[in-house]
Amino acid sequence: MTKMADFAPPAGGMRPPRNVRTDLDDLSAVRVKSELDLHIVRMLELHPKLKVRFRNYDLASLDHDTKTTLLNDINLVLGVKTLKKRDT
Amino acid sequence: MLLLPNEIDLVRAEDNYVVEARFVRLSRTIAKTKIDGTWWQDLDAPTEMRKRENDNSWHWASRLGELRNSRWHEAFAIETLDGDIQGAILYWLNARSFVESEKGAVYVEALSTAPRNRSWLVSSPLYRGVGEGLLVRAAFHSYVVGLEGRVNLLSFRDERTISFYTKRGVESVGEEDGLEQMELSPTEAFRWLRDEGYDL
Repeated sequence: MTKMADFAPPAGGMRPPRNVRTDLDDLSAVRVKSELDLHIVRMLELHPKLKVRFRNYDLASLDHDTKTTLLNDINLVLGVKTLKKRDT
Repeated sequence: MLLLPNEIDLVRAEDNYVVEARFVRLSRTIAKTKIDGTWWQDLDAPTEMRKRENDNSWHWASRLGELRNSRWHEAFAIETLDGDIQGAILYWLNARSFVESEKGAVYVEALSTAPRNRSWLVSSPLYRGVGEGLLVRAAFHSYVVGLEGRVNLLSFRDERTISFYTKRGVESVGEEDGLEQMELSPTEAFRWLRDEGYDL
């Protein structure tokens, strides 16, 4: 919680985005069983450049550790570093 | 593995005491029973003032119903230990940046704090930090899905609302149907996440 914590007025128009991306892959057929699965599938859809390297992964056949490794590899390719909560 | 944070600290307004709360996925049931059916009931505020609130006619449950087959939206709420919902956010992960249209961004369709948490509406508001926490979560989500923390939204064009967001690094970048287009850049998102205690 930052020192700016304040009372917030509402925002947004309660309507969907006008400009949605059209360059996304469609992996809606992939079965998602967990938050981790959903996260991985979304990463693959949001970043079409990952297609070549990771598209053949069958999530249903992977255990949790393997999925975690897969996500780490995806993050490495995209330059997404792990956010860690600082000890206070 | 930390995909998204589950906990949040709020500030109890009456004594500035920090209290723990948590993020919960916003279901239609929660929206119906704890937002639509309660937020505007028994509120210590005149009807005219309630009507001036931009979100007083929003129906969260029906909106979530409309989106039940959508794959790209996320809806979360902040729940305090007493089970009450203190604020909610609905956002999309498949939007474009207002500034760099070739880039993706998280688009906030709706963000509300419970009316009891609005100092201009009630005499004794309960919690501060609710809306800020919801927006930080959106920035966090944007970062972890590789959108670099970009978050955008349409703000009502009143001084209070625009000021709230600009103070937090969300810049006005245009206009859309009478609403202000605002966007949090990757630089500002990272600064904000760092201020919230997150390190790489």
